Order: sequence, then C-alpha cells, then structure tokens
Amino acid sequence: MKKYTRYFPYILFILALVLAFVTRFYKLGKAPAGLYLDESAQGYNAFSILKTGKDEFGKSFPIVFRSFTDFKTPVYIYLIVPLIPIFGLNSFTVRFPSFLFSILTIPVIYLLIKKVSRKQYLALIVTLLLAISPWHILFGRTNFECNVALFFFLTGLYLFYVGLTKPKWLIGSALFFAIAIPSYHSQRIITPLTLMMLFFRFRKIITDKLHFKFLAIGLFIGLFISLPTLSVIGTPGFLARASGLNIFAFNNRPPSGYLTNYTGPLPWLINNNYFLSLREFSSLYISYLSPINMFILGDSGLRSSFPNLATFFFWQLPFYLYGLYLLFMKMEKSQSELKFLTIFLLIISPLPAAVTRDPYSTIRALPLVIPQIIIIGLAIQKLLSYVKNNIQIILAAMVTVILLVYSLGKLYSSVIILNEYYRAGEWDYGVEQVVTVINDLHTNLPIIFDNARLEPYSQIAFFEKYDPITFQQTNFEVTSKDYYINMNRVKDKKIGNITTRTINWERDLKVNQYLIGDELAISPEQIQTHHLTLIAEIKYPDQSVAFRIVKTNPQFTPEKI
Amino acid sequence: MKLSKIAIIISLFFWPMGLWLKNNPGDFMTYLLPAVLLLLAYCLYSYCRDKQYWLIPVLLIPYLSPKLLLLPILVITILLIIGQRKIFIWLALGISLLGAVFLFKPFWGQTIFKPDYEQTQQVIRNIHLYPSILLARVYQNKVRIITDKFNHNWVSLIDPSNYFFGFHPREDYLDNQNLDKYPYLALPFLIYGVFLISKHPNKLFLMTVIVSSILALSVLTNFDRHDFILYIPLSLLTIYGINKAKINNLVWVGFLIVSIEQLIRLILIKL
Repeated sequence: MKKYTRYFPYILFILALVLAFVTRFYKLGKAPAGLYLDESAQGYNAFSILKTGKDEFGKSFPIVFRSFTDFKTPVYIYLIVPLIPIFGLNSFTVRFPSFLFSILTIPVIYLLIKKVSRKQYLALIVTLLLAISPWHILFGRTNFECNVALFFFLTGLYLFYVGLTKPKWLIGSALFFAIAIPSYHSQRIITPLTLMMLFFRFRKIITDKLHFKFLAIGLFIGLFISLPTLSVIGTPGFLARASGLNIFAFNNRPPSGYLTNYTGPLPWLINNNYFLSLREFSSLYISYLSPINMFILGDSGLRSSFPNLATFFFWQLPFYLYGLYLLFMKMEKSQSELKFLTIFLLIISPLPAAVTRDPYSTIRALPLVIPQIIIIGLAIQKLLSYVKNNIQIILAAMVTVILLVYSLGKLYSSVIILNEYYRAGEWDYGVEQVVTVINDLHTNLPIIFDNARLEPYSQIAFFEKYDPITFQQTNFEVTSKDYYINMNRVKDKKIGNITTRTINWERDLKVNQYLIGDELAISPEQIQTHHLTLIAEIKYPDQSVAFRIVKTNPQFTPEKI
Repeated sequence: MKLSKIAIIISLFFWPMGLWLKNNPGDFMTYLLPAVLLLLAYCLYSYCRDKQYWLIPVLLIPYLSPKLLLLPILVITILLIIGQRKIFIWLALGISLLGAVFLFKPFWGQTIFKPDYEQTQQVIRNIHLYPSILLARVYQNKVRIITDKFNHNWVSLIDPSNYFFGFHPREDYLDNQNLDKYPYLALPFLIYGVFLISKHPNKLFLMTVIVSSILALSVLTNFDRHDFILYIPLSLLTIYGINKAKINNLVWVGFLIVSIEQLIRLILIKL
C-alpha cells in the first residue's frame, strides 16, 4: 500500500493537469461558437503587426492598442502574432494564448502553495480545484487578457518566494511582475500593491548583502520593461479604461443613489458624491466576497459567465464557509505565511474591479479566484485530515469522484450545451457565416453591413484575412502622433467592397447593392415593402435570426420613399 | 456616553426605521410583532434559561405571521437534535405541529413548493438540448426548481449585501424593498460577532434562532420583510461584535459621521 501512496501526489497532479487540459481544450475555438468583436480586433491587429509591423491604424508596435479607442493591453496581442503562421488566423488562434497560460497557471499555483504552505496535499487540492474552476475555465477558453496576466503575476509571486532562499530568482520574479503590469488593466493596481507588500514584509531579507545585487538587477530589468508603459502613462489612451469606468469619475455619471429630482431639505447631504461613492465602492467591493454572487448568481455579464453556473460550484459553499473560519480562527502558526498571503490577496484582488461600476465583474477580479480557492482547499484538506481508516478512505475517495464527475458534467452542461444555445448572439455568432455567404456571391457590387447596433468591421477584416496595408490606407483615423491622444473615432469602415455603416434606406434602395443587417435592421416587412431579394438568413442555434443578407432592386424603388 | 454605545444605538435604528417608512402601519405591525415576540423569548432565555419558557413566545409567532409557520418547529427540532429532550420541549413540538395543521393552507401558497409553470416549461425546453437523457435528467429536472429556489434564498439570507447594501449592486430581486438594514460600516462588527458566537453567553439561543429563521424563510417564495425576524439575533451579534472590538475613538467618529449621514438620508428620502 505504501508503495502506491508514494505515487499518489504525482497521480493527483497529473489528474489536475489532465482535467485542466480537457476542460479548456475541448472545442477550443468552436465553443463559444461566435467570435466577439474584441477577440477579432485583437486577432486582426496581431495579423496586421505580423504583416506590416503596424496595427490597423498604421501605428508601429503600439504600447497599448487603440482598437475601438478602448486601448487594449498589448501583451495578449503580441502573443497571438507568432501563432498566426502556425495555426492561421482563426478563432482557435486568438483563444490559444488564454488556453496556454491557463494551463501553465496550474503547475505555478501548485508550486506557489507548496512553497508558501509547505503542505503538498494542500497544494494538490488547490491545484485540482483551480483545474475545474468555472471562473478560471471561462477565461481559459476565450480571448481575455486577464488569464495571461494572472499567470505572469503568480509566477512573479512564486519566483519571489524562491528568491528569498535563492536570490538570483529575484531577477526572474521582477521580469514576470513587469510583464504582468501591461498584461491587463487590473494588474496596474494589483501588482504594484503586491510589490509594496512583499518589499515591506521581506525588506530585511531582500536588502541584505546576498540579495541586494539581484534585487537591483531585477529592479533595473523591471524598470526597463516598464519604460514603454511609463512613456504613455499620462495619455488619455492609457487612462481611457480607468476614466471611463471609474465610479469616482463624477463627470461621467453620478454615483449610485444620486437623486436628480430631489427637492427636499439638505440636498448637499442627500446627494453628497463622497458619501454616495464610499457606499457604492463598499457595496461593489463586498459583492466580490458575497456568497450569493460566488455560488449562485455569478457574473451578470453574459460573456463572462456560463448559464446555470456561478463562479464556483455550489457544493463548494460549505467548504468556503468552513475555510473562512479556519483561515481567520484556526490557522496553524506554521501556516502564517499562507494565511497572510491569502488574506492579502483576498483584500487587494477586488480593488480594481470595485472601483468600476459593473457589479461582480469576474474579468477584472480574476486574481480573486486564487485566495478563494485556497480557502475552499483549506477546508477540504482539514476534513481529509480526519480520514484515518480504510472505510473512511474509500468513502472520501467515492465522494471526491462523485463531486468531480458531477462538476465535469455541470461544466459540459453549461459551457457546451446551454451557452451555445442561449448565448450565441452574445459572442457575435453569425458574422463568420455572413462572410462565407458574401465570398460565395463572387460579386463586385457594393455591400453595406449595418453597424447601428454592432461593430462588425474587425470581424469582417478578420474572417476575410483582409490585407492590412490596404485596410490602413482606406481607413485613416489618426496620425501616429495623435494615436494615444485623439479619442475621436471613425466608426464607418471600408473593407474591399464591404462598407460598415448604418443603412440609409432612402439612398441605399436606389443603388444596386447588398444590404446586411440583424433582425431589427432588416425585417420581413421591410423586405416585402422595399421589394428586396432575400439572399440568405443566418440563424442562431435557437433558430432566431442573427443576420439577413438582401439585395436591393432599384427598378422597383419609387423616387421618394 | 461612550462612542461605541452611540454606534450601537445608531446601528439598531436602521432596519425598523426603514421598514416603518416603506410600509403602511398595518403591514409594519405584521413584521414587527414576530420580532417583538422573539425579543421577549430572548429576555426569558437570558433570565431563566434552565426552564424552557422562552419557547412560549416562539410558539406564538406563526399565529401573527403564518409565513413563519416552520420557525417554532425548526427551533424545537434543533433543540431535540442537540439533546434537549425535556417533556416541555416534546409538548411544545406537539403544540407547534397542531398549530401547523390549522395554518398550513395560507402558508403553503407562499412557499417554493407551489408549482411554477414558467420554470417547468424552461426545464422541459432545456431537456431537449441534451444529447443523453441521463445528462438531461441530472442537470435539468423539476426537483431542481425547488432546490435552486431554496438555495438561492438561504444563500441570500447569509449574504452581507442583503443586510448592509439592500442587495446593491445586484438589485435584481423581485418584489424586494432593498432596505439598508444596518449601516454598512457595521458589517465588520457583525462578522466579528459571528466569529465569536461560540463565546456569546446566549449562543444556544442565537444559533438556534438564526439557523431556524434562515431555514424557515428559505422555503418562502419571497422572504423580504419577513426576514425582519432576524433583526433580533443579528442585532445581538452586531452589539456583541461592537462591544468586543477594541477600536479607538477616531474610528468611531468616522463610523458615526458616515452612519448618521446614511440614517438622515434614509429618513429624508422617505418623508
């Protein structure tokens, strides 16, 4: 028996890796079935960088990508670039970095927990929990930068702890932390706070003779990597996300609870921005630690959640509550570092998300998955420590297998079945099919793609693999000098004979051309009234109409409509 | 007067004040009286805990609010489970079960066990999406309609957002008054009180009543306003947390400024 138990940790670790791989790789690029505009924009900009060394606006190697003037973080886009020659420009390629770094996070979390707690089984339990975590899986299957950033952050953290005993690893730690910062917006807050904490907590060790040299080199490298980011830090582009979503930006939007029509006494107190913002921030912050959000509701964003699945499995709730009790009341002294790190991450991880107005935004708060999984892991490990005799071992193994099988089934149910059926529209399903139909038409006639509710240009350019040089020349928006400063957009784009703009019925019906729009833009009544020829109808999996492609018939159109 | 005492008084104002301002007096009494009975039970428990007289007011609660029919039954069941099997408790169980027979009809219509046509149709629609009937039965079945509602309710009832932020920023609860039941800065004190509950002199009363109330409210289609029954035990825990916390006066001053502003806002907006 002892011979087998020796291999048990390896088996568990391999199981965690296999589960992580299966849950993230199965139908990668195919489910979710569509390709959201942010994903295609990242992919097309990577394609543009590969072909021209410039992004879609003709800017050479941008530090943050202008895109829809949301100024996307650069690391993910640059990670896609070398993948395009290997896998081609497709949905799989743009989601692959998320998948890869999600898988790489699994051994990193194992090493980190083992290093900090010195408890192998706790590390294995946490690793296994992360492998099947719905929260981590979601961002491991789709193109979101947060997962890549989490990998760099955790690796930096792990290497720092290694560096305490082997100083040269401090250089590696600085390198990973420096890459984490530009990887995702929320890391601009989390990483510096973590660095400050680590410095104050371990200042005596890292400033001693042995460590100082490596610390200085690490700082130099970190600063060098951060130079490009620092060069644009004050520009409107860099601050676009923070100023647009910030709850303290009173000019954009008054805080929650502000009564515009209030005419009663003490209006300065009733509508006091500072009091109201403090309450709003507190409620947003607490929402990230709230059991109802974690175990029942999940993220309200339809692309950052799966149907019928919260961020954690419901069966994990009792463990979470017990784990909280253990963490704060019953933690062994030998686990003080794990306790400190868990509480620290628990406190700082919701901060970047809590200053933005969306409730329980799991994208921005992804690092929170780590302390919350540790808490659940603590409880499971404690309960397993009571398992002594063979019958208890068999029972525990049976419960574990049942929970694993149930969780995997639940993931399949929500991620593959329900999400595909109910949320295809959220992932902009249909644009790829539209592009296929357009290409099959082999036409030189103008094509108008309605962009009143959508912004399909990046998807069209992506699926058409449209020549980036031509795109840059025909879709001028800003000069290189104004790239990070000018926040004005040109929404209408031209991709060959396809133009994305709102349909102008009066003018467009008089031209022999194709019109493409969603159910609201081109209804069956409009087809009948305007004598349009229906070319194709693209439907969502639930059989509702995603897009209609019609051809105008100017010969039937009266002079005035 | 100590600043911590003022903080306690301010904290205790919120929930009854909010409930009173948002409801007509008749309805308000429906929610208030069960809490008053529970307060009486707490007093009886504090002064003569060897006897079980505190159960008498608890037994009366369903007659004032039939939605809380299960509360006394659950309280007594918990006492029996933990080994308090005196004749008086068995008698109380008999009385509460007898009362349940008369109050069952108005109670049943307000529970999650009432058939839900829309949810049932949704389950049937979803079942057709699955490739295997086994998978469909496990993850989409009619029993889950009830268990999901039950889980949603009890987790909401242990959620701080319910008590301190009126469910903000997820105020998507149907027919919920979204009351700020305590000043939000009192949250750490309630949590501290919960963590120290095992050291509370009346821990048996508090734990029994809290668990029973949460379970009794979780079977309701809408627990809002009836959750005022939790005002007594949660306030006791908050008071306990405040009393046990060692905090300097400057923090209390900050607490009072923010909480008084919140209370004034609560009153002025409703007037």
